[in-house]
Amino acid sequence: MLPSLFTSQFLARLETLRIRTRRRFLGSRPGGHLSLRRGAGLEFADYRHYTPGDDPRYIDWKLYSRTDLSAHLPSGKIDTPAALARHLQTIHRPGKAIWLSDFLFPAEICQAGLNLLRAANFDLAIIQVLGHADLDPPLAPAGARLVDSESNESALVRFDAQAKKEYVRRLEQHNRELRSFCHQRGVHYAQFTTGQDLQQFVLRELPALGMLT
Amino acid sequence: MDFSFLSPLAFRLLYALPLLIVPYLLRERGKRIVVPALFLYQGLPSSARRRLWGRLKLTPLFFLQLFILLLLITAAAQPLLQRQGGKVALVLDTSASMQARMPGGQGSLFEAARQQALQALDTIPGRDAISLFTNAPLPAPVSTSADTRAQLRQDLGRVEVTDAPDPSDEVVSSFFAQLLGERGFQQVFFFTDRPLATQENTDALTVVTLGEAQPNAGISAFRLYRSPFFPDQVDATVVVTAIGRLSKGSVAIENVETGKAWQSQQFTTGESLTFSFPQLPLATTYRARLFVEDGLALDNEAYAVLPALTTVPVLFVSPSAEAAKSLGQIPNLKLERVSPQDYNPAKAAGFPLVIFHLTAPETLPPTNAAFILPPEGNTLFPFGKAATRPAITQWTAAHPLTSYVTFSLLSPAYAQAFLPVSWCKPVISSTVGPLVLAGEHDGRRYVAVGFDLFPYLGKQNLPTSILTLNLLGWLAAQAGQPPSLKTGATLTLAGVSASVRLPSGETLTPAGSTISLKKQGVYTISENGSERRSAVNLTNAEESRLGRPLRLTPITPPAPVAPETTGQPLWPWLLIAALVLLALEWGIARRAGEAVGMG
Repeated sequence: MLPSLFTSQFLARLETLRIRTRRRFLGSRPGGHLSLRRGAGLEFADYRHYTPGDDPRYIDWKLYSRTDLSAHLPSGKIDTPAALARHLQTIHRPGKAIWLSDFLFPAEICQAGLNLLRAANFDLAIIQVLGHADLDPPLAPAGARLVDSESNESALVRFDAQAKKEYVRRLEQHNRELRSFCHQRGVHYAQFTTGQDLQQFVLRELPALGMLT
Repeated sequence: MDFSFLSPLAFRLLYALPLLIVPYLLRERGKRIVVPALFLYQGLPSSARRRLWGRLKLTPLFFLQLFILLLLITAAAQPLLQRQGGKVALVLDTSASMQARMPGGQGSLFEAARQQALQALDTIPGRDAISLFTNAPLPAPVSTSADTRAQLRQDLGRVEVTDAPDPSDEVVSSFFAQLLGERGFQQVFFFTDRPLATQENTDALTVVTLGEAQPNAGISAFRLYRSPFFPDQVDATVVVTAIGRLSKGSVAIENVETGKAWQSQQFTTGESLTFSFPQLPLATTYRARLFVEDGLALDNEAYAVLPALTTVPVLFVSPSAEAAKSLGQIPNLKLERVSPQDYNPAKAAGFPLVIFHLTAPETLPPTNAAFILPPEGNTLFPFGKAATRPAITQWTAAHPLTSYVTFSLLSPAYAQAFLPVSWCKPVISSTVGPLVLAGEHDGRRYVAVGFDLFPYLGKQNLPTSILTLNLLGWLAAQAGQPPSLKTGATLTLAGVSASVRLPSGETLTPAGSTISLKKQGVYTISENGSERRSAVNLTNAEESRLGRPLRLTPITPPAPVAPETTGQPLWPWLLIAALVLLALEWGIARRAGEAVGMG
């Protein structure tokens, strides 16, 4: 069951959108044209997300398994470049790659991962998803034990107003570096915060950034 | 101004104050927060390096909570704002004599007293606490020392003079002693019309005397008599007490409903004058009025209601059953005979009258009584000479006993004359001496007859029968009369939901079972489905004596009193402030909590 946010109207609008690539890639489909007709038939039209009521016979399980990145990642601390490298071995042809993450790991790791994908000749776009707690974490003036959600590492931090100010400064600098890195290397960059309107983001901002047409 | 605390032990709660820090310590002890990545937090100041007190960050909210707790503890200690000034009592005389006119001036003595009290309010220093009291019918507070001066002025304006007499001088003395003693007043001002008899009292008591002794006449008694045996006849007696030199005046009896005056009698002088008004027409309510130029108008009238017609129970103490049987023929008479051996005074007290026939007790009975031919040697009415068929030579024509009796036909077969009795007057006398004595003693009527009136033969012996009925009527005249009520007394009501119409026409529904009779006039009481009326009169010769001296028993000067202890209690204000701050703290804490929750 999809969240209520995904209304039938929203899903219908999504159907009309196309992921835009800046390069042409070798494909398995004969011909270079698009058919306006879709539906049942032998000729393949496009992939789209599964929606309730779709015939399970038409689901491309192989593709689905490839898109499920998490299935290939170990739990606990993630070595992002290594995980990406392992995943790239399963992909035989480059194409469009969209990386969704909070990118809250050191800039060099982000950059290493992006460079890895770029080296594999992917047309790359990243969407940084941040929660409100990431942007405005609660104060703990008397100190708190901060636990990393992925590595379970912890640290005792006196997170007062001064410390928070420093945290916000670091986060902004981190995001700025990431965005700058992407712009310099022709990688689409978009930031989505959990408080934003998802429909607005998908239907307006992403096309404006050139990720979708 | 100074503070004191009624419950200083409450300050021991201060020892528990540090407990307020505990929740802060618990709350701030290493909160666990899951973050998506730790690297952005690395290098920030560590809490592990800080000690207990360093870790404790006390917010302004903590200090607000501390302040609220301090307020609550202080309120529990019941602080009192003390005034260093004295405690002053103003006592206003509200007795009937204060209604006397101010000599040579306008208005009454009471109005002058009120003005004096108002002026005293202006002269008493503002730091002094003033209480207001009245003294009649009994001393009572009007306002307490906590009231403001403006409130005191209002209370003074509302105080009304009563028709009640002064309480006795002993009561007034003990009231002042109580004020200056256990109630801790340093100064008492008494505004009255009575001058102090002696000036030996303490400086703490100031008696402000208004007016002076002035001539006055007042009705000191007003009684109606209605014989059960002649029910259409009403007799009245008015006693007037005159003090000082008065010009001539007159006394009249009026029908209250119609205002018609029936009889009027003139008088010129005399200290105590008794006026009899025989054979008045029937009316529901009678008013006696005194027309004279004097100081007090209130005591120039008195009220009485018509006595109800009733059957008169009579205790007949006689060895003769035949005599008792003959008396049984008289209507409205309910006779109970006992033999002389069975008589006892306690039994007599239950009857409005007792007839002793051929016998006499050792002492006067506690009720009206007739002694018909008492035995020789009795101690109450000693005998003189005896005679057969004595001729009646003299009688008091104005006395009710002699009404309609044809004395030329009265010829007792045997009679014994009485020797003089100090409190009795001879009403009928013969050649051998007085045969009938009549008088009042301790408010009761007694008649002694020196010949036998019985058996009662009715029309067969008219002179004796009429004399017998007169005798019974005079003794039983007050049998149906409602009890005489005086102003200042308390009227007890029988019914729970009784209502009382006052002389002013106002109707009261008393909360309790009594009402205080502060005004003179006729009260109509409705209770248990019936209605009865009672006349309430001042009829107090002492109160009519205007400007009579006030004899106070010496009052011990009060010991120096510590500074005023009846200050303003402050704990309610502290409690309110604490509650307001608590609401503020709750609001702030809630907002802070919401801010954290959003994070």
